[in-house]
Amino acid sequence: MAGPWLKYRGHIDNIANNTLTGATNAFNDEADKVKNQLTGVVGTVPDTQRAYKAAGIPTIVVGDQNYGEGSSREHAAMQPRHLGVCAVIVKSFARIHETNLKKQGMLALTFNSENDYDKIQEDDSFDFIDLSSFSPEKPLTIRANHQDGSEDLITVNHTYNESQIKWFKAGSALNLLKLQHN
Amino acid sequence: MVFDIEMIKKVYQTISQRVEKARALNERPLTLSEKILYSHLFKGIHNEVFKRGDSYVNFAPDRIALQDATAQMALLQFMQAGKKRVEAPTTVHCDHLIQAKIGAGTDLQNALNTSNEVFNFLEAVSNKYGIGFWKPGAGIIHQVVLENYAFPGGMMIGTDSHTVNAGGLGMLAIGVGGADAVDVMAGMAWELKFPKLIGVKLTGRLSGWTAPKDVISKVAGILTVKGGTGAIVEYFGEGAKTLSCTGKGTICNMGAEIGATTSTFGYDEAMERYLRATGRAEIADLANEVKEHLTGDDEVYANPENYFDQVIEINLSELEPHVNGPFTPDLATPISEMREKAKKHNWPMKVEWGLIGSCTNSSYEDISRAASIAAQAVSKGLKPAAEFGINPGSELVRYTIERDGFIKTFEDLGTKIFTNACGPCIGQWSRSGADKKEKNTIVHSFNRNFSKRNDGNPNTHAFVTSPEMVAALAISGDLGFNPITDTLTNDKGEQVKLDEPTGWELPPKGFDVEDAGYLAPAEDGSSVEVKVNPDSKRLQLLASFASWNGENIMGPNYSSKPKENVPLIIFPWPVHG
Repeated sequence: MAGPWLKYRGHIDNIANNTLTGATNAFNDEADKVKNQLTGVVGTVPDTQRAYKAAGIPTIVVGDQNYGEGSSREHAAMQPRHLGVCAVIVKSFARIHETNLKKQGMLALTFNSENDYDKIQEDDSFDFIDLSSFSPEKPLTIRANHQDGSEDLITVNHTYNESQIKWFKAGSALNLLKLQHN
Repeated sequence: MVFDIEMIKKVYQTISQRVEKARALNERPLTLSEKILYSHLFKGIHNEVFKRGDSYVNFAPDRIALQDATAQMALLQFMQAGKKRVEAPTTVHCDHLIQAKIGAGTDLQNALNTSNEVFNFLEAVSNKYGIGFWKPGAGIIHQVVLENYAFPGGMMIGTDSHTVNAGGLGMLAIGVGGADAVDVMAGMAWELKFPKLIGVKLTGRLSGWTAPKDVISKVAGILTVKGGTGAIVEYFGEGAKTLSCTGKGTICNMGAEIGATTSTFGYDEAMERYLRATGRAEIADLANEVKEHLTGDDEVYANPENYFDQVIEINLSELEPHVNGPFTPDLATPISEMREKAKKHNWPMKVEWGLIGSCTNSSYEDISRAASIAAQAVSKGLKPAAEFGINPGSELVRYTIERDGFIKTFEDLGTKIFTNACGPCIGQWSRSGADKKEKNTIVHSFNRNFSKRNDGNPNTHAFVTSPEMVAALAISGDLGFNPITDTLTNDKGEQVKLDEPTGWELPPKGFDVEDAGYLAPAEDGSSVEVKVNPDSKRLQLLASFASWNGENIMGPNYSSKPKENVPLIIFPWPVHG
């Protein structure tokens, strides 16, 4: 509880320096070390994220099973959102965290086929190609563009209902609430 | 003073109709947990029977409590909702951002010096949006809630896992994340998977050295730290009625340690006595009018196995004092087996500190019973072998135990009286020498004892037990000391025994307090300004996240010029962060 981050609970930009720093990167098996594709340099997660954010590049997080377990605090969703993450794609979610991602206006998605997790490579870029038809019970499609010019179409599922899709469109549940009574 | 009495009246006015409807729908008698759940549906009355452990249901909790660490982001978010006031009664309690070190006065001043900016922010936001504000030093959120806000048959949420403490007054009180609290403060529904139900039947009566803490220590040993996940634990039986309201609070509090959604007890005379003693006779009178709806149906308690998913039975008359730990609260050891077990596992036998208090165990009853042991140290010529520390749960309790001489009893033993705040229980403890990382043992009456939790030292073996047992173990300085059978050597070289603890469920002269530490919000807060320094390191007003622009999110064509064109970037995480 009284860890070094306790004092930053009310400061989103400062506490964002603690974003996903404990997670292991599947491509190098190390925590808090990810490749910045703009420079090729390996840096901490928050530093790398801030570099993308400064360049106006949206980012995604890919995760394994039960993603977000133990991260019920809203910070766990707000921090990546603050740093420019637009979507989290995983094999499965801890439900509370999934809901928190939705509330913060992010895309919380699961692989239709878990094997697609392995198709993702470190230098990929991604296109969300059918977001305009985002609707309940209808999977979305993501195109993973690989470094060698090849690509994979990946089907991802979601659990958004009509009102949760409105959260996404408004940018967050609170944005929608504000729109509704103003 | 009775807070939010109109809200409580409304709950009691509708409870009968809602419970009867739920009973008819389910076509069977109901547990207390089901009565409270079905009478707090977001849309009032439903025509659906919910499936335990399966249905996701929208609820409308009666109230919300926030502590100072979690309140910051919750309130920053609420400020974005565009509301003039909170839609459900809400309170903020400053108890986490205070470090225990020297003693109450100095520590509180240091906390104000360090975190005043945060406290002032929380106070201003509370004032503006109709939120009750409890100042630093007023007490620990869960004790203050039990003394002022909990009521039988109610439902509340709080941004802290030990919110469940309010089950001691017959509520369903559930710990949530800040986003959930914000939803309810803004008038939205709160969603919960309809919980499974575990029934704990209590028979017999506590006596001698056993205390309510031993009930939950025993239950934790049976169910383990995962056994309550997704379930409400409902206590009932003749034994339940013999426990004080605050003792029930202790049991419900540590339901968090077995992963339970929450725990509760049916309304009874002990709760009525507590309501009256804490200035809430009006609520007791209202509750008495609907009391059949504030406990489980007779048929349920007569044949619990037909109505609960799991049933445990504990005979309070046979229960032994327990000491749970180290490093996990479900490693339950009856005191008579501790010496042998500790030797086998090479746990340090010398007790270095005894800590009493926290939200779990800081009632008048707890302190008076522990003080009855502490007083014997003086009268029998025993010098405590360990250091003593107390963090009272509220100013109401602290003021009253000082008036009644218990603080002096402890001070005569050199006890440090810390601020009415979480302190060592949440690691807000600057323990002298902890940085040396020496292997050592401490005992406390708190709820959690995971590695590093109390003093940051991974080699501190922390054990959880009742306040009276903390006192006995700290005086003896010996983890294996069994006060029921063992003797201690006094300053004259005589062998002496500690008498059984005695105490009072409630103060014989009543509770008293000069300044409870409460600030009521402005009637109309629209002119209240909330200031945040743009250069602050602690606080930052939120900007709304951008809305979706309606376009597909595309990474640029990657194949032509990979180093200059910029793709969407992937961070792969095989495990959670």
